Amino acid sequence: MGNDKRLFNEITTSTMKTISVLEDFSEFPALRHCNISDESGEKFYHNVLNKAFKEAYEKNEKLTVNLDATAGYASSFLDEGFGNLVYDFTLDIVKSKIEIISEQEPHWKEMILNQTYPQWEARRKSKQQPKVTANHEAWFRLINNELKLEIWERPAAV
Amino acid sequence: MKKLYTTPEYKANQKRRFLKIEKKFRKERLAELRAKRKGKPKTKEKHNHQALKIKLPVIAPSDLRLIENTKKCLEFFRNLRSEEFRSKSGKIEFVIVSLKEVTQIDYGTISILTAIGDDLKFKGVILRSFLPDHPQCKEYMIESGYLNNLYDDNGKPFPKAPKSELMFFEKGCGRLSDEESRKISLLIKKIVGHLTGVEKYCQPLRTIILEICGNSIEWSGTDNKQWLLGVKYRDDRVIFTVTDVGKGILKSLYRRLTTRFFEAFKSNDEILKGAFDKKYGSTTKEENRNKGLPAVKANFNQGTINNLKVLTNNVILHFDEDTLSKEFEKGTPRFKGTFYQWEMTNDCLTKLLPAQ
Repeated sequence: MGNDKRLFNEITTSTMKTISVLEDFSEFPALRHCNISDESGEKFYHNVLNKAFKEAYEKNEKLTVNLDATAGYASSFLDEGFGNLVYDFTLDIVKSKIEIISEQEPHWKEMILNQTYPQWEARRKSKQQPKVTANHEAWFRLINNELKLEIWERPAAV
Repeated sequence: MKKLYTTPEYKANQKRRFLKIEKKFRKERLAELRAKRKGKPKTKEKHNHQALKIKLPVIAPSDLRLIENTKKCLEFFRNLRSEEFRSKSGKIEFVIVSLKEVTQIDYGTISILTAIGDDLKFKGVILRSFLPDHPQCKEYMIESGYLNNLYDDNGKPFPKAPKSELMFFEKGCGRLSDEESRKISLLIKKIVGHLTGVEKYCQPLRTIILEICGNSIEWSGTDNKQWLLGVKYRDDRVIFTVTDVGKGILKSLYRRLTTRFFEAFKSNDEILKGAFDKKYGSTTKEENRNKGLPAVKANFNQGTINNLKVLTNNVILHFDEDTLSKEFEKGTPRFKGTFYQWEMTNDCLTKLLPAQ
């Protein structure tokens, strides 16, 4: 019985990629957009989360995102980071492929699952494009079950 | 023989002359444009560089405590920012402030005065100040570091006060830089150290500060996206203030005409309370937004922050004592901007930290 459990854990961990905001992005995550803060949710999505999720999706793996051990979050950082993911990959796929760890502040996981996900899915369905406030490299979006790499949005001219 | 007007000296002289005339013309054109933008008629004053226009000083009321004497303080702030009181000496614009009669002052007022001073400085206007005669008030103002940005009645900067251990301001403008973000986190460590004796991060406290400062940066509409975080240490508690001198929350809400229409029969304090209850959508009409103010109220409801007060436009909300919340009557000066004040004690921290 114990061996089976160990084997199961080994299989699941071998098919699970993990990223951490602290190690892969910043100890001091800030606000929503790049035009109002350096280490923004928008930057986290474009520099880290989109690529990591695309890799997990292609390999049919689960992606674990660890939110713990940073200095603390603003709700807008997490909303922008995880919301963009729903917009680009659809709610069902994101829900089935991502695992969020937030042991220090469990309410963030609740907020992402219960507010950010459905609100951004509604946004995706109504084709209300995400706001982009800096120039980003091309990023992945799932169109008709096919991954496409493009610059989908550019910052609005001021 | 070479003709005079083809010699290099002649050509150089002509070029110099042409550049001089062009420079003069450009200067005059620029001055005209500036005058036009300000809506002032073109005058011949531009040639009178010694023009000295001294206006009356803005006189502070004796009770300059924001929470206890809000209306008088608002009147004083309005006059400070009014162009009516701006004096001019040559190209220098300044406002003369008399704090001589002040006998009582609080940290909220110091925070707003600092924010107004920074905003005026950004616009090229300096504050020349007469200090309070009252020795304790004078000392309090010096200790707060407020004078570091001020000029005396002769137009000379006040000597810089040593950094206070008990009062502290963290300022920012434009984007929230990584460095500012780090400074806020280090400040939080110190605050936790003051309240518990052990310096460490407190993620929920950083969340509260980021939500409020983030609102100021994104929505205040100040020219330079300015925000000011104030921290005052007392024996068993820490007082926080966040100030911006932008449009104010209600004015931002009114940009959405539908809000005004549907809420036409409600008082402004009810509408502002609604914004903290996430009753209205975001001004950007994005469904996923507007989580900041409700998060601040949720913290107050959980007892993780105490004595929360919010002053914006013509409303003051006392979350700790709702009967004092009100919309000021017509004729009372409005506060152009948003001011938050709250307190934290060791009890608040124990409510915030046990889950960690």
